[in-house]
Amino acid sequence: MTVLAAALIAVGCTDDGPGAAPAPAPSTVAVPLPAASLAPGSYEVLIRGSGTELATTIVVPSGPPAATEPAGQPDGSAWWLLLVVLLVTGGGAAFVLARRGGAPGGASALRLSGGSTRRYHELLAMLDAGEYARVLPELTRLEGTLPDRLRDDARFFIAFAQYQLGDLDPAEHLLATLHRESPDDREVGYLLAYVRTDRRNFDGAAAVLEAVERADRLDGDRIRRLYSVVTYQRAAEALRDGRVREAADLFEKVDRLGGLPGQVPADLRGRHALLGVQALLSKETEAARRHFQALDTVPADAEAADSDEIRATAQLGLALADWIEFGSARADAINRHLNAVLRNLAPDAPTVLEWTDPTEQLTERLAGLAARRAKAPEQAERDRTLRDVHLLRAMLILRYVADLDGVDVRRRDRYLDLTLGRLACARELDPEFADVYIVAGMLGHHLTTGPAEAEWAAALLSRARQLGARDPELIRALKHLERRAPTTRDDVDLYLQELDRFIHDPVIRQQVRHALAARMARYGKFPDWEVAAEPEPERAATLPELVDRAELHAARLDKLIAAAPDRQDRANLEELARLHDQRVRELATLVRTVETAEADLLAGLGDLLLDENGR
Amino acid sequence: MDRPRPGELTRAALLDKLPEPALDLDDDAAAAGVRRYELRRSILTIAELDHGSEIRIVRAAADRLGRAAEAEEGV
Repeated sequence: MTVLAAALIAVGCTDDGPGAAPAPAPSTVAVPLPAASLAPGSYEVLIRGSGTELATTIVVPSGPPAATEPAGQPDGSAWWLLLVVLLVTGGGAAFVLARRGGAPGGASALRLSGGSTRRYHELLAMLDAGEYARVLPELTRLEGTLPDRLRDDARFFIAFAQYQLGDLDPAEHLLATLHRESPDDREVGYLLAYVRTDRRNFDGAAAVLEAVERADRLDGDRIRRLYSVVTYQRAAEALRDGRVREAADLFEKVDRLGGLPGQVPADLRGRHALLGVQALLSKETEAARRHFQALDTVPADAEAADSDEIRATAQLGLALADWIEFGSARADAINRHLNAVLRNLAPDAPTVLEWTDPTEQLTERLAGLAARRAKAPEQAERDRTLRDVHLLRAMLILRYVADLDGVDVRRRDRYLDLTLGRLACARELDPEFADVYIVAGMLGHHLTTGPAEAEWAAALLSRARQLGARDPELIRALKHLERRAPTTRDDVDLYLQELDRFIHDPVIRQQVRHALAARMARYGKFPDWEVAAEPEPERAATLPELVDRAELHAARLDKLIAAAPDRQDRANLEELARLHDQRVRELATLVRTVETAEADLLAGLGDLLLDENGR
Repeated sequence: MDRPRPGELTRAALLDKLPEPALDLDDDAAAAGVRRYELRRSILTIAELDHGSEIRIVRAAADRLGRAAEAEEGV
């Protein structure tokens, strides 16, 4: 007998007994029988498997056997028969039940449904309600007892619950098994790719989605979006690693998949743009020009907005290729390309504005900042591009002038006006852009002829400094201008300007700001809200910043101190100024001492660890 | 495969419960890689314009413009 073991019938168990011959490496099949479909009575069971048959009998009594009722059974009337078949040879077994005594219909195939299936559907309702922790253990136990038609779904649901509970390894493992069994199953593919995306295994996710794509089952927004995200992330990784051609292919695929509308920057849509940028970054200007000229040939089927974006990128690339190889002969071409960028991105915006001196107060600055932060991201991106293009246009004039052998004096003012007019366009788009104030202020510094112009240039460079500019030449220029600024100005006005600079310096600690503002409160110069509006600095002042600030203070305040009418007051202030100056100098010396000590330490350690034989 | 019963949970309905997949380039070197290759974000980098170079260009241009002014005064 190849089928050795008997059927163990949970109720009225008739078996071949525990003393039956032991089966070598038996496999076990547990089959829940739906008692509800069986009327009480005695049944002959025929088990077929591996070409043999085993006949046995089961008895369905009239009452439910509490001992075998599975946990969670909602209703005592639905009870189970558990049939355990031990098969030596493995393989499937078929069950044919015939009612002893001539049941109506005679022998019939048994459909497997009933208690476990019902419980399964109850568990699905709990899963739907998000009770993953409650569902998972029971569904896992139940899954093996379900009919085949439900088992794949059950395993999918188990994996989903595992994922929701953060059990990512078993979830991915189970989904990978399901995916191997059915590579073109879209939902399994989606969930497996989703889990892998969550784990930042984008290549693994892509392999799954490619299988779904090969099976031509990539229909539906959800899966296309996931595929787009995965492909974009892979493209980004490729760029990070310098695999630009691969990235270009992947970005093209993102565009084709269409799952991220509006989220792929115009510059990344199309291989010519990417390869053009790569060529620009490596200063291969001829290759860059070829790519941007090819990009400039917009496909006929492109939408109008798209073609404007593509042309803007192409023209910008061509301008930058010429910029890299700058010579005054190229200035016209650069100017033309940059103007074309503006026409495509902002056809109605001015290309030159009158320069006006920055006079806005803190309240206006804050309001302007808030308005700029409230811009939609696409608008903010566009404004930044336009800002940089306007700066480039202004610098183009200066590069052109610098490249000339001599400047026609009749055109001198025209060059200056045009430069400032283009800078004004950049400032209009971003009043916090330090570069604009640096260029205008440094022009003023070099070309100034009188105290009023010096004051104008100093105000611009102060603003640049306030916005974070720290270039040593700028600081030197500012000190120089401070000394040249008119001495007739009201001392109180000068003092208040200096106080204002200090209070709003981005590296001054809140605590110091508040203490100073509190001391000056009786003069009503700083409302609390204005001081509180300044954020806590993200970093401390660096030593060069401290030194610069001290020197600027000295340049500005020494003459105020010297003008103090009371001799004792003047002496006290001079002493404070001297102490301040001394401390900054000591700090600078201390930093140098620390550097020397660090070098000594490294040298000493080297003597200890290294020998002269090259180790 | 059998059709689900009316109102019964389906795989698709379960997948609907997942947040929509989104790009995650924050705090990632990949984000920096993408930005570097976005032409519009790299204008000043490619043009090699920073505070130092701007100051140098201004100085060179001002030198020419200043000479023009001196020449005018000389005339």
